[in-house]
Amino acid sequence: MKKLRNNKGYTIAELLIAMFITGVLAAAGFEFYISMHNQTLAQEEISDMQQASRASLQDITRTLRMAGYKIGSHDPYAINGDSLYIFFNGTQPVDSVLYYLADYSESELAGMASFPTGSTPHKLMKKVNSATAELFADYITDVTFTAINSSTVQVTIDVQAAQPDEDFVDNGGYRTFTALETVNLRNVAL
Amino acid sequence: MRKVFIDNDKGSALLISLLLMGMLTLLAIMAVRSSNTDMDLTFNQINADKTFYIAEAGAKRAVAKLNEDKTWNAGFSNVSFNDGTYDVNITDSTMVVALYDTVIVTSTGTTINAQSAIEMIVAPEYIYPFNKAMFADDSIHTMNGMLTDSYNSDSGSYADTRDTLWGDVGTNGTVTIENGCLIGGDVSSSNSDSGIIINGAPYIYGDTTSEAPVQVLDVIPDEEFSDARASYIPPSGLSGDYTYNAATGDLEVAKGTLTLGDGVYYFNSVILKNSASVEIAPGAHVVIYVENQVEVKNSGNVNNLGKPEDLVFYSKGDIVLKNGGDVYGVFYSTNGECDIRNSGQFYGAVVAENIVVHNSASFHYDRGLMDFWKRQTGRMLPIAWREI
Repeated sequence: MKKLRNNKGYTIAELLIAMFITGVLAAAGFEFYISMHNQTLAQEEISDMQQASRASLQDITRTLRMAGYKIGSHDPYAINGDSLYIFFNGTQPVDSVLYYLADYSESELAGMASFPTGSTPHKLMKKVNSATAELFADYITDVTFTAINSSTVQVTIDVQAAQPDEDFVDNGGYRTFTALETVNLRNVAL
Repeated sequence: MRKVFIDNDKGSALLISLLLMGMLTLLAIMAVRSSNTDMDLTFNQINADKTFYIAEAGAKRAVAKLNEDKTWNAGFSNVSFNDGTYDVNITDSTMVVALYDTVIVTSTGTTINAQSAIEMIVAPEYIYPFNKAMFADDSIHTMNGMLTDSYNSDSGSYADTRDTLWGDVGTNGTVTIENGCLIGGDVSSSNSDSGIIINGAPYIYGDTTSEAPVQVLDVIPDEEFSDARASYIPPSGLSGDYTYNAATGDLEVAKGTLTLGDGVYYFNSVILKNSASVEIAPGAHVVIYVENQVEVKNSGNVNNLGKPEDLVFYSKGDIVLKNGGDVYGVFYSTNGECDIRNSGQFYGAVVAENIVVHNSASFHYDRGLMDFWKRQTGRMLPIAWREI
Protein backbone atom coordinates (compact mmCIF):
# COMPACT_ATOMS: atom_id res chain seq x y z
CA MET A 1 0.00 0.00 0.00
CA LYS A 2 2.81 2.22 0.92
CA LYS A 3 4.52 1.55 -2.40
CA LEU A 4 1.44 2.48 -4.41
CA ARG A 5 1.37 5.79 -2.79
CA ASN A 6 4.96 6.37 -3.64
CA ASN A 7 4.84 9.39 -5.89
CA LYS A 8 8.53 9.75 -6.34
CA GLY A 9 9.38 9.84 -10.08
CA TYR A 10 11.85 10.99 -12.62
CA THR A 11 12.00 14.54 -13.63
CA ILE A 12 11.52 15.42 -17.28
CA ALA A 13 15.23 16.31 -17.44
CA GLU A 14 16.22 12.91 -16.15
CA LEU A 15 13.94 11.20 -18.64
CA LEU A 16 15.27 13.29 -21.53
CA ILE A 17 18.87 12.54 -20.61
CA ALA A 18 18.11 8.84 -20.20
CA MET A 19 16.27 8.74 -23.55
CA PHE A 20 19.09 10.62 -25.25
CA ILE A 21 21.75 8.26 -23.92
CA THR A 22 19.62 5.21 -24.78
CA GLY A 23 19.04 6.64 -28.25
CA VAL A 24 22.73 7.20 -28.89
CA LEU A 25 23.60 3.73 -27.59
CA ALA A 26 20.81 2.11 -29.59
CA ALA A 27 21.82 3.98 -32.75
CA ALA A 28 25.43 2.96 -32.29
CA GLY A 29 24.38 -0.61 -31.60
CA PHE A 30 22.10 -0.66 -34.62
CA GLU A 31 24.80 0.80 -36.82
CA PHE A 32 27.22 -1.83 -35.53
CA TYR A 33 24.70 -4.57 -36.17
CA ILE A 34 23.97 -3.33 -39.69
CA SER A 35 27.61 -3.15 -40.60
CA MET A 36 28.22 -6.58 -39.07
CA HIS A 37 25.28 -7.92 -41.01
CA ASN A 38 26.50 -6.38 -44.25
CA GLN A 39 29.92 -7.75 -43.64
CA THR A 40 28.54 -11.20 -42.97
CA LEU A 41 26.52 -11.02 -46.17
CA ALA A 42 29.53 -9.80 -48.13
CA GLN A 43 31.64 -12.51 -46.58
CA GLU A 44 29.07 -15.10 -47.57
CA GLU A 45 29.07 -13.73 -51.09
CA ILE A 46 32.85 -13.97 -51.17
CA SER A 47 32.77 -17.53 -49.85
CA ASP A 48 30.10 -18.52 -52.37
CA MET A 49 32.07 -16.91 -55.14
CA GLN A 50 35.29 -18.65 -54.15
CA GLN A 51 33.52 -21.92 -53.62
CA ALA A 52 31.80 -21.76 -57.00
CA SER A 53 35.00 -20.99 -58.86
CA ARG A 54 37.04 -23.54 -56.94
CA ALA A 55 34.48 -26.29 -57.40
CA SER A 56 34.23 -25.57 -61.13
CA LEU A 57 37.97 -25.36 -61.45
CA GLN A 58 38.42 -28.64 -59.62
CA ASP A 59 35.98 -30.42 -61.91
CA ILE A 60 37.53 -28.93 -65.04
CA THR A 61 41.01 -29.83 -63.74
CA ARG A 62 40.01 -33.39 -62.97
CA THR A 63 38.46 -33.90 -66.39
CA LEU A 64 41.22 -32.10 -68.23
CA ARG A 65 43.92 -34.17 -66.54
CA MET A 66 42.33 -37.23 -68.10
CA ALA A 67 42.12 -35.68 -71.59
CA GLY A 68 43.37 -38.00 -74.28
CA TYR A 69 42.81 -41.19 -72.26
CA LYS A 70 42.81 -44.13 -74.69
CA ILE A 71 41.56 -42.25 -77.74
CA GLY A 72 44.48 -42.92 -80.03
CA SER A 73 45.31 -40.09 -82.37
CA HIS A 74 42.16 -38.10 -81.56
CA ASP A 75 42.92 -34.62 -80.22
CA PRO A 76 42.84 -34.66 -76.40
CA TYR A 77 41.12 -31.30 -76.18
CA ALA A 78 40.04 -28.31 -78.22
CA ILE A 79 39.84 -24.69 -77.15
CA ASN A 80 37.44 -22.41 -78.95
CA GLY A 81 37.26 -19.00 -77.26
CA ASP A 82 35.60 -19.60 -73.90
CA SER A 83 34.62 -23.15 -74.78
CA LEU A 84 36.72 -26.14 -73.88
CA TYR A 85 36.15 -29.59 -75.33
CA ILE A 86 37.82 -32.48 -73.53
CA PHE A 87 38.02 -35.90 -75.14
CA PHE A 88 38.74 -39.22 -73.46
CA ASN A 89 37.59 -42.79 -73.46
CA GLY A 90 34.91 -43.50 -70.89
CA THR A 91 31.46 -44.78 -71.69
CA GLN A 92 31.98 -44.36 -75.45
CA PRO A 93 34.99 -44.83 -77.73
CA VAL A 94 35.48 -41.08 -77.54
CA ASP A 95 33.60 -39.19 -74.85
CA SER A 96 33.44 -35.44 -75.02
CA VAL A 97 32.93 -33.04 -72.16
CA LEU A 98 32.23 -29.46 -73.10
CA TYR A 99 32.56 -26.52 -70.73
CA TYR A 100 31.25 -23.24 -72.08
CA LEU A 101 29.82 -19.90 -71.02
CA ALA A 102 26.17 -19.18 -71.73
CA ASP A 103 24.21 -15.95 -71.35
CA TYR A 104 21.41 -15.71 -68.83
CA SER A 105 17.94 -15.44 -70.35
CA GLU A 106 15.92 -12.22 -69.94
CA SER A 107 13.71 -13.84 -67.35
CA GLU A 108 16.71 -15.15 -65.40
CA LEU A 109 18.30 -11.70 -65.44
CA ALA A 110 15.06 -10.10 -64.25
CA GLY A 111 15.29 -12.08 -61.02
CA MET A 112 18.83 -10.91 -60.30
CA ALA A 113 20.37 -7.75 -58.99
CA SER A 114 20.98 -5.12 -61.65
CA PHE A 115 24.54 -5.44 -62.77
CA PRO A 116 26.56 -2.43 -63.89
CA THR A 117 27.01 -2.07 -67.63
CA GLY A 118 29.69 -4.32 -69.00
CA SER A 119 29.83 -6.70 -66.09
CA THR A 120 26.82 -8.88 -66.77
CA PRO A 121 27.89 -12.34 -65.65
CA HIS A 122 27.32 -15.60 -67.50
CA LYS A 123 26.65 -19.12 -66.45
CA LEU A 124 29.21 -21.86 -66.84
CA MET A 125 27.67 -24.88 -68.49
CA LYS A 126 28.88 -28.46 -68.66
CA LYS A 127 27.74 -30.76 -71.40
CA VAL A 128 28.67 -34.44 -71.42
CA ASN A 129 28.39 -36.12 -74.83
CA SER A 130 24.91 -35.48 -76.23
CA ALA A 131 23.21 -35.01 -72.85
CA THR A 132 21.48 -31.71 -72.06
CA ALA A 133 23.92 -29.09 -70.85
CA GLU A 134 23.85 -28.59 -67.10
CA LEU A 135 24.29 -25.37 -65.20
CA PHE A 136 27.64 -25.73 -63.53
CA ALA A 137 28.37 -22.36 -61.91
CA ASP A 138 26.66 -18.96 -61.69
CA TYR A 139 27.94 -15.41 -61.98
CA ILE A 140 30.98 -16.28 -64.08
CA THR A 141 32.34 -13.22 -65.86
CA ASP A 142 34.99 -15.01 -67.87
CA VAL A 143 36.80 -18.29 -68.39
CA THR A 144 40.10 -18.53 -70.21
CA PHE A 145 41.73 -21.68 -71.51
CA THR A 146 45.32 -21.24 -72.62
CA ALA A 147 47.56 -23.94 -74.05
CA ILE A 148 50.94 -23.33 -72.38
CA ASN A 149 52.58 -26.18 -74.29
CA SER A 150 51.49 -29.41 -75.89
CA SER A 151 50.66 -31.03 -72.56
CA THR A 152 49.84 -28.10 -70.30
CA VAL A 153 46.68 -26.02 -70.23
CA GLN A 154 46.01 -23.09 -67.96
CA VAL A 155 42.44 -22.54 -66.83
CA THR A 156 41.31 -19.22 -65.38
CA ILE A 157 37.85 -18.60 -63.98
CA ASP A 158 36.66 -15.06 -63.16
CA VAL A 159 33.62 -14.92 -60.96
CA GLN A 160 31.57 -12.02 -59.63
CA ALA A 161 29.50 -11.76 -56.46
CA ALA A 162 25.74 -12.19 -56.82
CA GLN A 163 25.02 -9.08 -54.74
CA PRO A 164 26.83 -5.75 -54.53
CA ASP A 165 28.83 -4.93 -51.43
CA GLU A 166 28.36 -1.36 -50.12
CA ASP A 167 31.93 -1.22 -48.84
CA PHE A 168 33.38 -2.13 -52.21
CA VAL A 169 33.97 0.71 -54.63
CA ASP A 170 35.14 -0.88 -57.87
CA ASN A 171 33.08 -2.80 -60.41
CA GLY A 172 29.79 -1.25 -59.26
CA GLY A 173 30.20 -2.78 -55.80
CA TYR A 174 30.41 -6.35 -57.12
CA ARG A 175 33.41 -8.12 -55.72
CA THR A 176 35.31 -10.38 -58.07
CA PHE A 177 37.48 -13.45 -57.63
CA THR A 178 39.83 -15.21 -59.99
CA ALA A 179 40.79 -18.85 -59.66
CA LEU A 180 43.62 -20.23 -61.72
CA GLU A 181 45.02 -23.68 -62.25
CA THR A 182 47.72 -25.03 -64.54
CA VAL A 183 46.79 -28.51 -65.58
CA ASN A 184 49.28 -31.09 -66.74
CA LEU A 185 47.56 -33.40 -69.21
CA ARG A 186 48.77 -36.75 -67.94
CA ASN A 187 47.95 -38.71 -71.06
CA VAL A 188 49.66 -36.24 -73.36
CA ALA A 189 52.77 -35.86 -71.21
CA LEU A 190 53.28 -39.62 -70.89
CA MET B 1 17.59 15.86 -4.11
CA ARG B 2 21.03 15.40 -5.50
CA LYS B 3 21.89 13.02 -2.71
CA VAL B 4 18.82 10.92 -3.45
CA PHE B 5 19.76 10.68 -7.14
CA ILE B 6 23.24 9.50 -6.37
CA ASP B 7 22.15 7.14 -3.69
CA ASN B 8 19.59 5.59 -5.92
CA ASP B 9 21.09 2.18 -6.60
CA LYS B 10 18.11 0.78 -8.36
CA GLY B 11 19.04 0.02 -11.98
CA SER B 12 19.16 -2.43 -14.81
CA ALA B 13 22.83 -2.21 -15.87
CA LEU B 14 23.36 -5.91 -15.23
CA LEU B 15 20.30 -6.85 -17.22
CA ILE B 16 21.23 -4.63 -20.14
CA SER B 17 24.85 -5.81 -20.08
CA LEU B 18 23.70 -9.44 -20.07
CA LEU B 19 21.32 -8.79 -22.96
CA LEU B 20 23.98 -7.02 -24.96
CA MET B 21 26.50 -9.72 -24.20
CA GLY B 22 24.04 -12.39 -25.22
CA MET B 23 23.39 -10.67 -28.52
CA LEU B 24 27.09 -10.24 -29.24
CA THR B 25 27.78 -13.86 -28.31
CA LEU B 26 25.04 -15.02 -30.70
CA LEU B 27 26.56 -12.93 -33.48
CA ALA B 28 30.00 -14.28 -32.73
CA ILE B 29 28.78 -17.88 -32.70
CA MET B 30 27.06 -17.36 -36.06
CA ALA B 31 30.20 -15.89 -37.57
CA VAL B 32 32.34 -18.71 -36.19
CA ARG B 33 29.90 -21.34 -37.46
CA SER B 34 29.90 -19.86 -40.93
CA SER B 35 33.67 -19.63 -41.08
CA ASN B 36 33.92 -23.16 -39.63
CA THR B 37 31.98 -24.47 -42.62
CA ASP B 38 34.33 -22.61 -44.93
CA MET B 39 37.29 -24.04 -43.09
CA ASP B 40 35.88 -27.55 -43.35
CA LEU B 41 35.39 -27.05 -47.07
CA THR B 42 38.94 -25.84 -47.44
CA PHE B 43 40.32 -28.71 -45.37
CA ASN B 44 38.38 -31.21 -47.44
CA GLN B 45 39.75 -29.63 -50.57
CA ILE B 46 43.31 -29.77 -49.23
CA ASN B 47 42.89 -33.40 -48.20
CA ALA B 48 41.37 -34.35 -51.54
CA ASP B 49 44.26 -32.69 -53.38
CA LYS B 50 46.74 -34.34 -51.05
CA THR B 51 45.34 -37.83 -51.58
CA PHE B 52 45.43 -37.29 -55.32
CA TYR B 53 49.12 -36.50 -55.28
CA ILE B 54 49.83 -39.30 -52.80
CA ALA B 55 48.07 -41.73 -55.15
CA GLU B 56 50.09 -40.39 -58.05
CA ALA B 57 53.32 -40.80 -56.08
CA GLY B 58 52.39 -44.44 -55.43
CA ALA B 59 51.69 -45.03 -59.13
CA LYS B 60 54.98 -43.42 -60.14
CA ARG B 61 56.92 -45.53 -57.66
CA ALA B 62 55.23 -48.60 -59.11
CA VAL B 63 56.32 -47.58 -62.63
CA ALA B 64 59.89 -47.13 -61.39
CA LYS B 65 59.71 -50.55 -59.75
CA LEU B 66 58.40 -52.10 -62.99
CA ASN B 67 61.34 -50.60 -64.84
CA GLU B 68 63.66 -52.41 -62.45
CA ASP B 69 61.78 -55.65 -62.72
CA LYS B 70 59.12 -56.25 -65.36
CA THR B 71 57.72 -59.24 -63.52
CA TRP B 72 57.14 -57.36 -60.29
CA ASN B 73 53.49 -57.51 -59.33
CA ALA B 74 53.45 -57.50 -55.55
CA GLY B 75 52.19 -53.94 -55.29
CA PHE B 76 52.50 -51.76 -52.21
CA SER B 77 50.34 -51.85 -49.13
CA ASN B 78 49.70 -49.03 -46.70
CA VAL B 79 52.89 -47.11 -47.39
CA SER B 80 53.14 -43.87 -45.39
CA PHE B 81 53.71 -40.83 -47.52
CA ASN B 82 53.29 -37.16 -46.66
CA ASP B 83 50.55 -37.33 -43.96
CA GLY B 84 48.78 -40.15 -45.74
CA THR B 85 49.22 -43.60 -47.16
CA TYR B 86 49.10 -45.24 -50.56
CA ASP B 87 48.18 -48.70 -51.70
CA VAL B 88 49.21 -49.96 -55.11
CA ASN B 89 47.69 -52.93 -56.88
CA ILE B 90 49.26 -54.46 -59.95
CA THR B 91 47.34 -56.42 -62.55
CA ASP B 92 49.49 -58.14 -65.17
CA SER B 93 49.29 -61.03 -67.61
CA THR B 94 49.80 -63.58 -64.84
CA MET B 95 46.39 -62.54 -63.52
CA VAL B 96 44.68 -61.51 -66.76
CA VAL B 97 46.24 -63.34 -69.71
CA ALA B 98 44.74 -60.95 -72.27
CA LEU B 99 46.91 -58.14 -70.91
CA TYR B 100 49.92 -59.76 -72.62
CA ASP B 101 52.80 -57.31 -72.00
CA THR B 102 50.68 -54.56 -70.45
CA VAL B 103 50.47 -53.86 -66.73
CA ILE B 104 47.68 -52.02 -64.96
CA VAL B 105 48.75 -50.03 -61.90
CA THR B 106 46.00 -48.94 -59.54
CA SER B 107 47.13 -46.60 -56.81
CA THR B 108 44.93 -45.36 -53.97
CA GLY B 109 45.94 -42.46 -51.78
CA THR B 110 44.29 -42.07 -48.38
CA THR B 111 44.32 -39.34 -45.76
CA ILE B 112 41.82 -38.53 -43.02
CA ASN B 113 38.41 -38.13 -44.67
CA ALA B 114 39.65 -38.38 -48.23
CA GLN B 115 40.64 -40.93 -50.81
CA SER B 116 41.77 -40.70 -54.45
CA ALA B 117 42.57 -43.44 -56.90
CA ILE B 118 44.57 -43.43 -60.09
CA GLU B 119 44.79 -46.06 -62.77
CA MET B 120 47.86 -46.14 -64.94
CA ILE B 121 48.37 -48.47 -67.85
CA VAL B 122 52.02 -49.32 -68.34
CA ALA B 123 53.47 -51.03 -71.39
CA PRO B 124 56.93 -51.81 -72.74
CA GLU B 125 58.47 -49.11 -74.88
CA TYR B 126 58.76 -50.10 -78.51
CA ILE B 127 60.90 -48.66 -81.21
CA TYR B 128 60.77 -49.07 -84.96
CA PRO B 129 64.42 -49.23 -86.04
CA PHE B 130 63.66 -48.99 -89.77
CA ASN B 131 61.98 -45.61 -89.64
CA LYS B 132 64.69 -44.10 -91.84
CA ALA B 133 66.38 -45.06 -95.10
CA MET B 134 69.62 -45.51 -93.24
CA PHE B 135 70.54 -45.15 -89.62
CA ALA B 136 73.97 -45.50 -88.08
CA ASP B 137 74.89 -45.55 -84.42
CA ASP B 138 78.26 -43.98 -85.04
CA SER B 139 78.62 -42.37 -88.48
CA ILE B 140 77.26 -42.06 -91.98
CA HIS B 141 79.36 -40.93 -94.91
CA THR B 142 77.75 -40.34 -98.29
CA MET B 143 79.70 -39.25 -101.33
CA ASN B 144 80.12 -39.29 -105.10
CA GLY B 145 76.62 -38.80 -106.25
CA MET B 146 74.65 -41.18 -104.08
CA LEU B 147 70.95 -40.46 -103.82
CA THR B 148 68.12 -41.38 -101.48
CA ASP B 149 64.40 -41.23 -102.01
CA SER B 150 61.48 -43.40 -100.98
CA TYR B 151 58.64 -45.57 -102.19
CA ASN B 152 56.03 -47.73 -100.53
CA SER B 153 56.05 -51.45 -101.23
CA ASP B 154 52.70 -51.81 -99.44
CA SER B 155 50.99 -49.52 -101.96
CA GLY B 156 52.67 -50.34 -105.23
CA SER B 157 55.80 -50.38 -107.31
CA TYR B 158 58.70 -47.99 -106.98
CA ALA B 159 57.65 -46.17 -110.15
CA ASP B 160 54.09 -45.68 -108.86
CA THR B 161 54.85 -44.64 -105.29
CA ARG B 162 58.16 -42.81 -105.56
CA ASP B 163 58.58 -39.71 -103.40
CA THR B 164 61.55 -37.36 -103.25
CA LEU B 165 61.08 -37.20 -99.47
CA TRP B 166 61.29 -39.74 -96.61
CA GLY B 167 64.63 -41.06 -97.75
CA ASP B 168 65.88 -39.99 -94.32
CA VAL B 169 69.43 -40.36 -93.12
CA GLY B 170 70.06 -40.37 -89.39
CA THR B 171 72.76 -41.13 -86.85
CA ASN B 172 73.55 -40.86 -83.17
CA GLY B 173 76.99 -39.64 -84.21
CA THR B 174 78.21 -37.77 -87.27
CA VAL B 175 76.76 -37.65 -90.75
CA THR B 176 79.00 -36.37 -93.55
CA ILE B 177 77.40 -35.46 -96.86
CA GLU B 178 79.69 -34.66 -99.74
CA ASN B 179 79.18 -32.69 -102.90
CA GLY B 180 76.98 -34.24 -105.54
CA CYS B 181 74.82 -36.25 -103.16
CA LEU B 182 71.06 -35.94 -103.23
CA ILE B 183 69.24 -36.71 -100.00
CA GLY B 184 65.52 -36.98 -100.67
CA GLY B 185 64.62 -36.74 -97.01
CA ASP B 186 65.68 -35.41 -93.63
CA VAL B 187 69.21 -35.50 -92.26
CA SER B 188 69.38 -35.90 -88.50
CA SER B 189 72.01 -36.40 -85.87
CA SER B 190 71.96 -36.54 -82.07
CA ASN B 191 75.39 -34.97 -81.86
CA SER B 192 74.71 -31.26 -81.48
CA ASP B 193 78.44 -30.42 -81.53
CA SER B 194 79.45 -31.45 -85.02
CA GLY B 195 76.80 -33.99 -85.92
CA ILE B 196 76.29 -32.83 -89.50
CA ILE B 197 79.14 -32.08 -91.85
CA ILE B 198 78.22 -30.85 -95.30
CA ASN B 199 80.95 -30.47 -97.91
CA GLY B 200 80.24 -28.63 -101.13
CA ALA B 201 76.65 -28.22 -102.16
CA PRO B 202 74.74 -31.47 -101.93
CA TYR B 203 70.96 -31.38 -102.33
CA ILE B 204 69.00 -32.04 -99.15
CA TYR B 205 65.27 -31.97 -99.81
CA GLY B 206 64.18 -32.46 -96.20
CA ASP B 207 65.04 -30.85 -92.88
CA THR B 208 68.38 -30.93 -91.14
CA THR B 209 68.75 -31.25 -87.38
CA SER B 210 71.63 -32.09 -85.08
CA GLU B 211 69.39 -32.33 -82.03
CA ALA B 212 67.49 -35.51 -82.77
CA PRO B 213 66.78 -37.81 -79.81
CA VAL B 214 69.26 -40.65 -79.41
CA GLN B 215 67.94 -43.88 -80.90
CA VAL B 216 68.83 -47.03 -79.01
CA LEU B 217 70.28 -49.59 -81.41
CA ASP B 218 71.35 -52.48 -79.28
CA VAL B 219 68.00 -54.19 -79.28
CA ILE B 220 68.66 -57.71 -80.55
CA PRO B 221 69.43 -59.90 -77.57
CA ASP B 222 72.04 -62.62 -78.04
CA GLU B 223 69.42 -65.24 -77.21
CA GLU B 224 67.70 -64.42 -80.45
CA PHE B 225 70.79 -65.45 -82.38
CA SER B 226 71.25 -68.60 -80.30
CA ASP B 227 67.55 -69.46 -80.65
CA ALA B 228 67.80 -69.09 -84.43
CA ARG B 229 70.94 -71.21 -84.42
CA ALA B 230 69.29 -73.92 -82.33
CA SER B 231 66.09 -74.07 -84.37
CA TYR B 232 67.51 -73.87 -87.90
CA ILE B 233 68.50 -77.20 -89.41
CA PRO B 234 70.68 -76.43 -92.44
CA PRO B 235 70.21 -76.56 -95.31
CA SER B 236 66.42 -76.60 -94.97
CA GLY B 237 64.61 -73.93 -96.95
CA LEU B 238 67.46 -73.55 -99.42
CA SER B 239 66.99 -74.64 -103.02
CA GLY B 240 68.70 -73.98 -106.33
CA ASP B 241 72.37 -73.05 -106.52
CA TYR B 242 74.35 -72.66 -103.32
CA THR B 243 77.25 -74.00 -101.32
CA TYR B 244 76.77 -74.56 -97.62
CA ASN B 245 79.75 -75.37 -95.44
CA ALA B 246 78.35 -77.32 -92.51
CA ALA B 247 81.57 -77.03 -90.55
CA THR B 248 81.79 -73.27 -90.62
CA GLY B 249 78.13 -72.42 -91.24
CA ASP B 250 79.01 -70.27 -94.26
CA LEU B 251 76.58 -69.92 -97.12
CA GLU B 252 77.95 -69.00 -100.52
CA VAL B 253 76.18 -68.51 -103.82
CA ALA B 254 78.70 -68.18 -106.63
CA LYS B 255 76.45 -68.83 -109.63
CA GLY B 256 72.85 -69.29 -110.70
CA THR B 257 69.93 -68.58 -108.40
CA LEU B 258 69.29 -69.48 -104.79
CA THR B 259 65.65 -69.69 -103.74
CA LEU B 260 64.77 -69.23 -100.10
CA GLY B 261 61.63 -70.69 -98.55
CA ASP B 262 59.65 -69.22 -95.71
CA GLY B 263 61.37 -69.30 -92.33
CA VAL B 264 64.16 -68.23 -90.00
CA TYR B 265 67.76 -69.04 -91.04
CA TYR B 266 71.06 -68.94 -89.24
CA PHE B 267 74.47 -68.72 -90.94
CA ASN B 268 77.96 -67.77 -89.93
CA SER B 269 78.28 -65.70 -93.09
CA VAL B 270 76.40 -65.13 -96.33
CA ILE B 271 78.31 -64.40 -99.53
CA LEU B 272 76.84 -63.77 -102.97
CA LYS B 273 79.08 -63.24 -105.96
CA ASN B 274 79.59 -63.66 -109.70
CA SER B 275 76.12 -62.57 -110.79
CA ALA B 276 74.41 -65.06 -108.50
CA SER B 277 70.84 -64.12 -107.70
CA VAL B 278 68.58 -64.72 -104.73
CA GLU B 279 64.86 -65.19 -104.95
CA ILE B 280 62.28 -65.54 -102.23
CA ALA B 281 59.68 -68.25 -102.72
CA PRO B 282 56.23 -66.76 -103.42
CA GLY B 283 54.52 -65.65 -100.22
CA ALA B 284 57.57 -66.44 -98.09
CA HIS B 285 59.02 -64.23 -95.35
CA VAL B 286 62.68 -64.82 -94.79
CA VAL B 287 64.64 -63.78 -91.72
CA ILE B 288 68.35 -64.58 -91.72
CA TYR B 289 70.53 -64.31 -88.62
CA VAL B 290 74.17 -63.93 -89.55
CA GLU B 291 76.96 -64.27 -87.01
CA ASN B 292 79.53 -62.50 -89.20
CA GLN B 293 79.53 -60.70 -92.52
CA VAL B 294 76.99 -60.44 -95.29
CA GLU B 295 78.57 -59.77 -98.68
CA VAL B 296 76.71 -59.16 -101.89
CA LYS B 297 79.41 -58.47 -104.48
CA ASN B 298 79.19 -58.41 -108.28
CA SER B 299 75.97 -60.29 -107.89
CA GLY B 300 72.73 -60.43 -109.82
CA ASN B 301 69.43 -59.30 -108.36
CA VAL B 302 68.38 -60.07 -104.83
CA ASN B 303 64.70 -60.54 -104.08
CA ASN B 304 63.76 -58.27 -106.96
CA LEU B 305 60.29 -59.81 -107.20
CA GLY B 306 59.45 -59.25 -103.55
CA LYS B 307 59.16 -56.64 -100.84
CA PRO B 308 62.18 -55.59 -98.78
CA GLU B 309 60.51 -56.81 -95.58
CA ASP B 310 60.40 -60.34 -96.99
CA LEU B 311 64.19 -60.58 -96.81
CA VAL B 312 65.57 -59.44 -93.48
CA PHE B 313 69.18 -59.81 -92.40
CA TYR B 314 70.11 -59.49 -88.71
CA SER B 315 73.85 -59.53 -88.54
CA LYS B 316 76.56 -59.04 -85.96
CA GLY B 317 79.18 -58.31 -88.61
CA ASP B 318 79.78 -56.15 -91.65
CA ILE B 319 77.42 -55.72 -94.56
CA VAL B 320 78.93 -55.12 -97.99
CA LEU B 321 76.76 -54.41 -101.03
CA LYS B 322 78.73 -53.57 -104.13
CA ASN B 323 78.78 -53.80 -107.90
CA GLY B 324 75.56 -55.73 -107.69
CA GLY B 325 72.20 -55.82 -109.31
CA ASP B 326 69.04 -54.63 -107.60
CA VAL B 327 68.71 -55.54 -103.95
CA TYR B 328 65.39 -55.58 -102.06
CA GLY B 329 65.99 -56.18 -98.40
CA VAL B 330 66.35 -54.98 -94.83
CA PHE B 331 69.75 -55.07 -93.20
CA TYR B 332 70.41 -54.67 -89.50
CA SER B 333 73.80 -54.86 -87.85
CA THR B 334 74.30 -53.27 -84.46
CA ASN B 335 78.07 -53.36 -84.50
CA GLY B 336 79.07 -53.82 -88.11
CA GLU B 337 80.09 -51.55 -90.94
CA CYS B 338 77.83 -51.19 -93.93
CA ASP B 339 79.44 -50.38 -97.27
CA ILE B 340 77.21 -49.71 -100.25
CA ARG B 341 78.84 -48.76 -103.54
CA ASN B 342 78.64 -49.02 -107.31
CA SER B 343 75.53 -51.01 -106.95
CA GLY B 344 72.39 -51.07 -108.94
CA GLN B 345 69.44 -50.00 -106.94
CA PHE B 346 68.95 -50.68 -103.25
CA TYR B 347 65.36 -50.90 -101.95
CA GLY B 348 64.66 -51.19 -98.25
CA ALA B 349 66.51 -49.88 -95.20
CA VAL B 350 69.83 -50.27 -93.45
CA VAL B 351 70.78 -49.92 -89.79
CA ALA B 352 74.42 -50.34 -88.80
CA GLU B 353 77.18 -48.95 -86.62
CA ASN B 354 78.83 -47.10 -89.52
CA ILE B 355 77.49 -46.64 -93.03
CA VAL B 356 79.40 -45.55 -96.13
CA VAL B 357 77.50 -45.03 -99.36
CA HIS B 358 79.27 -43.93 -102.51
CA ASN B 359 79.76 -44.01 -106.27
CA SER B 360 76.25 -43.42 -107.54
CA ALA B 361 74.55 -45.89 -105.29
CA SER B 362 70.81 -45.26 -105.32
CA PHE B 363 69.05 -45.90 -102.08
CA HIS B 364 65.25 -46.21 -102.13
CA TYR B 365 63.73 -46.36 -98.67
CA ASP B 366 60.57 -48.42 -98.36
CA ARG B 367 58.05 -46.40 -96.36
CA GLY B 368 56.22 -49.64 -95.60
CA LEU B 369 59.04 -50.34 -93.13
CA MET B 370 58.15 -47.45 -90.85
CA ASP B 371 56.10 -49.67 -88.56
CA PHE B 372 57.96 -52.88 -89.36
CA TRP B 373 59.64 -55.00 -86.71
CA LYS B 374 58.96 -53.23 -83.47
CA ARG B 375 61.33 -53.90 -80.65
CA GLN B 376 61.23 -53.45 -76.91
CA THR B 377 63.80 -51.11 -75.46
CA GLY B 378 63.48 -52.68 -72.04
CA ARG B 379 61.80 -49.66 -70.54
CA MET B 380 58.24 -49.71 -69.21
CA LEU B 381 56.31 -46.55 -69.97
CA PRO B 382 52.88 -45.36 -68.86
CA ILE B 383 50.62 -45.25 -71.89
CA ALA B 384 47.33 -44.21 -70.32
CA TRP B 385 46.33 -42.47 -67.13
CA ARG B 386 43.04 -41.77 -65.47
CA GLU B 387 41.56 -40.88 -62.14
CA ILE B 388 39.00 -43.39 -60.93
